Amino acid sequence: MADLFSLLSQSGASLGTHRAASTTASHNLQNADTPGYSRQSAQIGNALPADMVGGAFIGRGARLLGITQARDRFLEAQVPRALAGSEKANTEARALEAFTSLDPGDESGVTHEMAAFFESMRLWSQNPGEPALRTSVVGAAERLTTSIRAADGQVSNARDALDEDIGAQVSRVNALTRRLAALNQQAATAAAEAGGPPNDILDEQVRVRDELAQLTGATSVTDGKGNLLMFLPGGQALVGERDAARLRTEPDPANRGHVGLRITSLDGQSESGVRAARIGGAIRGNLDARDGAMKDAQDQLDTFTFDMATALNAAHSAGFAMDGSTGRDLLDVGASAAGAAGRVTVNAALVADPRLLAGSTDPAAPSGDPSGVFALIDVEQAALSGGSNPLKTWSAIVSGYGDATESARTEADLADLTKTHLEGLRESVSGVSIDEELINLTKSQRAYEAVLEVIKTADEMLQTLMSIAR
Amino acid sequence: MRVTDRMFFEGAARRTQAASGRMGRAVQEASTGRRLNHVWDDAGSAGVVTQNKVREKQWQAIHESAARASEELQAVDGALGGINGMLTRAREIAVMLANDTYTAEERSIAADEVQGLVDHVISLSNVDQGGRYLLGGTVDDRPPFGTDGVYVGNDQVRTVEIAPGMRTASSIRADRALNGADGGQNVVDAMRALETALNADDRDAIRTSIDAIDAGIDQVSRARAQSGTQMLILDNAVRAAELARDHEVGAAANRTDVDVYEATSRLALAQRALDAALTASSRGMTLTLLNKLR
Repeated sequence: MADLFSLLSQSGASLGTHRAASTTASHNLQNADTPGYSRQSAQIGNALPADMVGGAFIGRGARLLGITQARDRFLEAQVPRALAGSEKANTEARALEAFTSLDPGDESGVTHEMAAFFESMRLWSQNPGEPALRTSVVGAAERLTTSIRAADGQVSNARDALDEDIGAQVSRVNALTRRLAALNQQAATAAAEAGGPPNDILDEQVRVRDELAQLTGATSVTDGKGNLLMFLPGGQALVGERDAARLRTEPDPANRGHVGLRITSLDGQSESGVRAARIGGAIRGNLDARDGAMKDAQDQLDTFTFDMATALNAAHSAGFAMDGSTGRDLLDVGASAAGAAGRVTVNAALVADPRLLAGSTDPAAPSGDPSGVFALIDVEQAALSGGSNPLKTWSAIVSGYGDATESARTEADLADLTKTHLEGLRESVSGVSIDEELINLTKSQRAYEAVLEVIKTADEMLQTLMSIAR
Repeated sequence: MRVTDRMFFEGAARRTQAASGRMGRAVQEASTGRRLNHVWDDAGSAGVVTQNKVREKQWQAIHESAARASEELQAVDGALGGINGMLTRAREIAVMLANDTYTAEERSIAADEVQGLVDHVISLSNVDQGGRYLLGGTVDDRPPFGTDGVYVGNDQVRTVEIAPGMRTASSIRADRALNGADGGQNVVDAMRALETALNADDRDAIRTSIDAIDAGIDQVSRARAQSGTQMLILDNAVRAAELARDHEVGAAANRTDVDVYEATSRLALAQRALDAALTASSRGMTLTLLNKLR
């Protein structure tokens, strides 16, 4: 009813409405730089129904309809995918860039030492009996094998480091999935109690979702009850309404003991393996780097080492040493290519006595006949198992790894562009503009002051009325 | 499109970071002079540069080996020249003492000189360089000629590489040039025959020995010509290897090194771009209602 007391109580309600609006603007300002925060808006409407007085409707002031978040559903579906793609590509590129043993400028690298080894043999060929030149060849062979073992060691260490990285990421994923399951429960409870969306819990759900997407490439679906459900790219459930799946790592003997992934289902009843193709994000980036270009480089290094050592040994064992002995290998490399790069060494007998280097095919002239040395030098031009000579094979390994790393970096740069663009769009919709909020705050403040004037006027009118009655 | 403060600051940070990154790369290039530091900087060039570096060392080694072989041949040529000189002197003695005007005593004195020439020829035949005997074929660790002039080397020829996979002879066959192999003339035997004829005061035998000595002189001259040809080949190979090595060095440098002027120019550009990014960001940060309401 449109009386003065109603006017006062309506004004009181309107004061509360405008106070809520200014509190909302203040909350936005305080969270202007909070990552993942979505600006909130106080929805103000007329208090309904209006009062009917003398054939006319008189309004009952303003009331708070609700506090809503500004989020674009389409963007919220796109951003996690972009985050996952960017994180996967950048993680892979960074991992590959950690392996630098193939750099052409490395003065102790395989390129330099292989060149020095064949150079020393060429110089030896001119005077096969010269002790200093023999010692020089053995020294160059030792440096070559050391550089190969060092390159193998570096790539092995890099792959082992990625295993540790994956382990840490899996731990983080498990913590986040548990957190998101708990948030789902909190959001459902809060929504039921308050009758409206618990915006700050929803913001926290989105932050956790984004981080999970970055780590695993998981996609999300929001059900009608406010639960954020997440699924790995392969379809396995990661987070349910109340439960979370659990990832763990396990050494894979078929992959030199490097870790693979296993997932325990939401209900904890079953466990299965997770192949690289069925996960995304940073974990996938590490897996692709470790089992892609790095593994290829390591395997190719093994094959290259084994093939070249085998060819050198065949030539060397056919030659004669200074004491007339024959049948001796130049390098010890084992019986198979697997792991060859990590164990190749120079024959210890040659290191102890360079006179045992076989440079001649004429046992009667081991000092002056260079034909054995030429046979060793000819290995430089001989086709290895891949069909190319050692130099071209090595060059292909170098450029192949460089190409893979360059491609990963290019993919990362492109993914970053997409991510930046979508994040910009999301920020444009959901982000806080300090200028806007200051204006909203001022607006609410003015409205509050205006309602105070209404209260003051109604009060004066009441006092006037009561003074008449005395 | 709404522009929020976070968008503004994050955008400013991103652009400044990108400008700083370009500046860092420009500084690295200008200060090191290199553009190819890692294989991923230019994968194709990295593979090619690998080959350039190996081939550079190939040619360097060929250059050195061929040069050393050429030096050895020069020593051989010197020795053969000396031997030719001894043979020529022996011929002079033979021609002179075959004349009826000389006495037996004079011929006996001449025989002593010829004996000295023989010893000198044997000594020259055992020419070595750094302890490596050069006229024994591939037997180079002991003198190829005994004190009695008997040859104990072999009939092989040493070879040296003049291009990857290409080899050429770097010694002469002393068994043919000096020892009479393959139907030739043993020069020591020819001189000893003269010595014997002189001691025996046998003018006919002295005259007969002249033909054998002439044959020896021809053989040694041919051997000198052969070593001269080999030296020419090796000297050409040395020059070619030097050029090839320098080509590989240049080819690698073209791919790995930056042009100094370009690098300096890029550095100046990057500095200016970074400065502009920082200035634009700082000016944009003052354009907010918060500043105006103070």
